[in-house]
Order: sequence, then structure tokens, then C-alpha cells
Amino acid sequence: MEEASPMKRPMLRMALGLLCAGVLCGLPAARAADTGAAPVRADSKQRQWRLHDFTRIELVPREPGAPDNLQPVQLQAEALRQQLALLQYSGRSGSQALFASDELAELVGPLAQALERAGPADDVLLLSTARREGGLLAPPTAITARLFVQRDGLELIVHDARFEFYEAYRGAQIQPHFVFGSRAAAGPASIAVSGTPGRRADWVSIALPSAAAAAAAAAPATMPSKPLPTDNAQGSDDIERRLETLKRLREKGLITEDEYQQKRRDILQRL
Amino acid sequence: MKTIRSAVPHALALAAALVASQAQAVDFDGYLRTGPGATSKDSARACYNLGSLGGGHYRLGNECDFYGEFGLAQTGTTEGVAWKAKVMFNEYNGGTDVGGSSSSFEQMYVEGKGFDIAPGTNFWIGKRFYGRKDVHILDTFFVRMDGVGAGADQIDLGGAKLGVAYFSSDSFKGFGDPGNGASKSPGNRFNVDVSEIGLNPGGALRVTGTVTQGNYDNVTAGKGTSGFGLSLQHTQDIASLGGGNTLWLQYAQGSAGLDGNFGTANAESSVKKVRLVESLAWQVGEFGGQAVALIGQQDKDDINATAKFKELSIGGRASYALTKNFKLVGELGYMQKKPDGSDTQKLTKFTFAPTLSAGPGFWSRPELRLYVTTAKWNEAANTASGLGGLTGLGNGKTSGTSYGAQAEIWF
Repeated sequence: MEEASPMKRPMLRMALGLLCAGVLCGLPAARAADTGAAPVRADSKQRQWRLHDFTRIELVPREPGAPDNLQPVQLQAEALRQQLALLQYSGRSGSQALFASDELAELVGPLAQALERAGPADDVLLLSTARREGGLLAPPTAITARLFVQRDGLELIVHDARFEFYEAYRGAQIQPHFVFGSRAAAGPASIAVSGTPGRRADWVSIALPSAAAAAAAAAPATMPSKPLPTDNAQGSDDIERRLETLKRLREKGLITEDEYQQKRRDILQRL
Repeated sequence: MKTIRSAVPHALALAAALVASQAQAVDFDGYLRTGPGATSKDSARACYNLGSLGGGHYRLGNECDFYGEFGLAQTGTTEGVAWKAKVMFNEYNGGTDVGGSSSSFEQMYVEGKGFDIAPGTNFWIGKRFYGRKDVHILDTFFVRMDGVGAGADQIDLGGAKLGVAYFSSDSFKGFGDPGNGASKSPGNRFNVDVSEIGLNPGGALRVTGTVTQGNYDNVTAGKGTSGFGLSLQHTQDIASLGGGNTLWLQYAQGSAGLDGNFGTANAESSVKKVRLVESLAWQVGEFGGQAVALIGQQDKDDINATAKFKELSIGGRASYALTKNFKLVGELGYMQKKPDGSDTQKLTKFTFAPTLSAGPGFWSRPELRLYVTTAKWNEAANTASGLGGLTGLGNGKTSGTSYGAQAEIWF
């Protein structure tokens, strides 16, 4: 990726600096004044890839208390696509592919770029919205997930596998509030790789292509500054939260009574 | 217009081709409502509304027009800049007959975020819908800064977002502006929009300021009139109801509108308007709906020969899903307007609509609905509407019933 040419016209720079002084450009006013508004090269510090109104990939500071991630890693987009295509989620109609094929084809390039750009202190947030079922007239649903690289591979924590927000947004301009997966608390999603459950219902480790895996394994691992809660350690709080979420889904009519009872049994078995 | 009309089918074909070949590459969104209806023998279909009210009308089973809008957008990130270009065309007909409809490009703009001089700011230029927030059952946007303009938004204030925009209009209108250069009443508008101000858990405040300036000589007032508006909007998520609440307190004077757009072009600055709107939406199990209450007042406008008036509107629409795909929908609304020196105009309207839908939710679309609408109003409402009376049928009646079928979809 080429870097943008710095502006070479002092007058133009000064004019833009004045235009952008203060809050207009989101830069501290003092900095704009002190430096003559020296431009920040966004392309060298790109932290967001926007693909559609509700599809974007973003680098954010990793969650507090989490160990250093093993990024950056270089991944081939096609290899990443093949791995992500194996992901499945448990939905109303049973187990289904998490990503649509055309959705994935579009995501993997920017996702590979993000993982190459990310540092050990970054997590990658993924928001992907697509019309996955029912064609053009079906309301789009969103996947919200957090990704990072650790020794086991690419870690993927999905909060929502099919977040339904679009109709309320279109009908009443209700702005969606997206919540991404978290190491600390399990979300409502249930995902697996080729039918094999992950370390948590919403969390799977995806094997990296060999070159990337070797690089990740060679990287020094850092222990977390404080231990993160594990699946077992979360105990009743986590289960209570998931039961409440499940109950809410049933009350909203988003899942059937049978689905509610089946999922409830699954959750209670974890006690 | 001929050119545009002929362009629409081509644009649709292009859209279909793009969407078919690159499902994720081009975004295609839209809205339409259409369907037949009737009121009585030997007359056109009637709809029921008090004229000149800013608060809209109760729309279920009460739309005599048909309308559709179809948008294409391309979004992508290049060299760190996230670009989006969007066009949207529409089709409108005041009745349901063929012919006499109009098409136009409602939106045509480009925006970008991630520029090196201001990475966090979104810049845009063009013709667009902007900052909209509505009450669906009234078909009214209570904030609507649409127009031809340029601006910057998503500016992080640390706990809030700032947007600033400038709009210019050849005919002092913000929406459907022909922009043909023939008008002699152009106007300028400047909006400041501060949003996402966190006030309380689940609640956010939005403050929208509007300044308008007529750039022309008004024959009556002597010059283009100026205006000012301020809108406060508070939105509140209510998880227990599966919905939320929106409250507006709005003020405008002169040529500014309450919704943040241009108002009446030549209204003197002494003409003041104020409006309070409360709207609640919910979805609890199979029971969903939206309710609204509105009170407003507008001063006497000498130049446009309108008396001071007060308005009131209260009503709601509720749906109950009997199955996943079948719901019963009803809407009840009451409106009144009291001009100084005249009797109070009153209208009550009720609609029952068995509806087929993609899902059980209130907002679930598409919907295929049959409806029966009945309305009652008073003589003052007929008188205020002119010779044709409130329905335009000119039969002197103060009640009526309409029926029909309508499809509505947004996607």
C-alpha cells in the first residue's frame, strides 16, 4: 500500500490547518496550532476498513487484562477464507455456516490486512452485515466478533451470529448498538468449527496456515497482568446471564418454545 | 423529466445486474408502498387528514398515493480513506392510476472518512437525506435536514458527536427542490447537530440548531427573511418493552422549520413555532406498536395570511401476531387544529388491517395488508379544507369509510 504524498503547498496546508483547527477535525486545537496542522498519514495508521454501512473491520486496544497478542501475522486471504468457511453457528434452523460465501470473499482481504497491521496490543473487531437468508428482500443480519492471534491460532469470539437490527433501523431510525465478543464474558452465540465445539460456546480457535502459525508460536508469550476468568470460573454468573438472554429472545418471539427449552437444557448442563 | 423516467428502468436493470453479479459489492436498499382502494360509488378513494398540520397524518389505510425509493451505494476503503457514493431515485403518484407520476434523484452524494488532515471526520458533498428521525405512523420526520449541501460530521467531542452542514437551495426548499435556477427566492441554511450526548443509562440527547437566510428580495417584506431553529431530541432505550422512547421539544422562527430544514420562505422573523412530541415504540412478545402525542403552536403569519393556531395529535398503531406470518393491526388517531378566530377542526380515524408479514414483529416487512378505515370529522374541518371538504369529494359529509389493500416494504 502506497503512502499518500505529503502536501507540498505551505499555503494550502495553512488554510487546511485553519479550517481544521479545534474540534472540526477531531484534533486537539493546540496541536493544530503548534505544528501548523502537520497532516496525519491515515494510510500508514489505518485502523478501520469500512466495506458497507454496517460492515467494517476495526483495530481497537485489546481488552484490559488480556495477554499480548501474537500479531502482526501475515495470512493469505484464500487460506483464511477456507478456515473461516468451516465455521458454523447454532441458529433457529439448526447448524448453519456462520458466513455466507460471498460475504466471506469480501471480508478476508481486509481482515488479513488488519491482522497484518495489528500489534500485540490490538484486538480486531468485526462487524459484518449481510442478507444471508431469503435473498434481496430479507433483512440483513449482523455478525459481531472479536479476533486476535494466540498460540492456538486465530481466536474468534462471536457475540452475535445473527443480530437483527435492520428493520427497526429502517422503520424508525433506531440506531443499533453492536456488542462484540469478549474474553471475559460469554455472549449468546454458539459456534463451532466443522461441528467441533470451541473452548467456549461463543469462542473458537482457528488453525493458522503453517507459516503464520510458526511465526505466532515463535513469538514470546506474555502472561496476562491479571488472570482472565475462564469458562469454569465464570460459573453461575455467566449461566444466569445466558439464561436471561435466552428468556428475552423467547419473549420477543425470536425463538420458539422448543428452541428455548432445548437451549435452556444445554446451558444448565454446564452447571 | 422524460430523460429521468427513461433512466429509471435502466438504473434498475443496472442495479439488478450489479447485485446479481457482486452480491456484496453494491448495496441496494429501498422502500415502497402501493395498492388499490376505494371509498364509495362514483367517487375517488378518500383519505383523511387535517390540512396544514406539521404533525403529519395517521397513515395506516390512509394513503391515497403510491411511492417508492430505490438506492444504490458503493462503499470501500482506499488508501485508508473510507468512501461511500450513493444515488437514490424515487417514483411518486398522488393517486393509484397510471400516468401523472414523477421521478427524481432524491439522493446523489459522496462522503469520505479517514483523510490525513482529519482522520476521524466524515466529509460529504451532494444531495441527500440527512439527520432524519421520524415517527413512522405519522409519516413525518421530526428532524430532517435533507437538501443539497456540504458538511462534516462524526466529529468526536469526547462524549458526543458533532456535525456541521451548509445547504443552499434555489427555491428555498429542502426536499424535492427542483433546483432549476428559475426561482427568485433562493436560500442558505446552516445546521449544527450535536448528538449522542449521554445523559442517563440508555438515554441520549441530540441538539440540532438551524439558521436560515433568504437570499432574495421579498416583494412584501422587502428582503429575504432570516430564521432560527432549535430542536432537542431525547431517545431512551427501554429494554423491558423491547423498544424505546423519543421526545422532541422544538422551536423555530422566521424562515426556519421545526425539523431543521427551511420552513416558510418569506415568513417574518416574528413568526414563531413550537412543538412538543412524545413517541413510544414497543415489542413485547407478539404485541408491538408505536404511539405518539403531539402539541404545537404557530404564530400569526401576516405575509402568508395564516392565523395563529394550536394543534394537537394523539394516537397509536398496535399489532398482534397470531402466527409468525399473520398479524392483526389497528390504528387509532385523533387530530385537532384551533386557528384564532375560527372553530376547532377535529378528526378521528380508525383502521383495522389483517396483515401478512415476513415476521411477527411490528417493524417486520414486507407487509401485505387489507384494510378498512373509518373516519369522523366536523364541519369546521370541512370548511377549512375548501370547497371539496376534508376528503376533497365535495359531498359535505362529515364521516367516511375507505377500504383497500396495500403492500409496504423496506429493504
